[in-house]
Amino acid sequence: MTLMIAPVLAYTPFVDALAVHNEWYLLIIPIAFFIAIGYKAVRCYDMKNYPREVFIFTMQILIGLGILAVIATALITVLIPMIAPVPS
Amino acid sequence: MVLYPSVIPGFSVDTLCISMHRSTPQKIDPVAGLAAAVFPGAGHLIRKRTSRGLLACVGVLGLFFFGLLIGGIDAIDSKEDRFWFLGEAMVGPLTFAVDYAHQNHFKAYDHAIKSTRTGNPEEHRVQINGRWEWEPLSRAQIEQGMGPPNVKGLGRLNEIAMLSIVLAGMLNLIIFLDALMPPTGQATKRSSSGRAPATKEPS
Repeated sequence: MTLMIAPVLAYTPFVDALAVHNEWYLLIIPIAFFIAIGYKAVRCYDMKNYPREVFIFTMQILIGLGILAVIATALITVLIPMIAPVPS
Repeated sequence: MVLYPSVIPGFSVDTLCISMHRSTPQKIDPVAGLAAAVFPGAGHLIRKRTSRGLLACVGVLGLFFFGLLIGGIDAIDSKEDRFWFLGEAMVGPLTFAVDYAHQNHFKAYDHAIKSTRTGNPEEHRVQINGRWEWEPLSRAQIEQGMGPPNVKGLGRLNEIAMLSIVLAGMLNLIIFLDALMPPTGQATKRSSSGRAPATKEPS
């Protein structure tokens, strides 16, 4: 029987999950930024406007998601308890 | 509804035709399409659209590696997260390479479920008769810092990580289609002999 112990690593970037459980909502910012970089690379007609369009598209994603978050929060915390209150 | 473009300042029948022409599919470039399928942005590089190719590559690989940074290698798992993997696979061979490494160098066999899985914090990989298996660690070994080769991504962070990589795949699909079908200006230049292109090709 061959017995070989695998090398044990401490935290390794790109291998172990990152412990940012409390700041999860901030992760949308780089995701939106990278989406804008890639999308505008093929959809921006004049590359002179590229940085401006990337910025605008990033902000559109972030503001759009922010609005959706506000609507969802209002729906879950205000509207639904009004329509169907939980019996105490 | 009837449009009278000539009465609108800066608008003519020509510009209307050009804008309609832009939205139609163009001639397919299979070499650029193949290159784009192999590596993000490579199709644009082949077509000499260097800046667009590099920026597309930055966008797709940025999302891809950001997902790996958040969720670790566990964010790409063709066995445990099969449906997520379908979206992630659109990034190209890179996803399959990471998945291969994950399945073969980070997972090990569990006799209880008769399959491979990611290790728990109190286990480590050992090779027994040529097969990697999980073996429980003693308290002393855990205190020494021994454990599985990677930490499994859990909950919301794992979902965001997988979402980031799936978005990379979907973005790469758009970039692939853009590389496969040349822009209007280039197609016009090829099709019209002796005439100047109706539109300027995007740089």
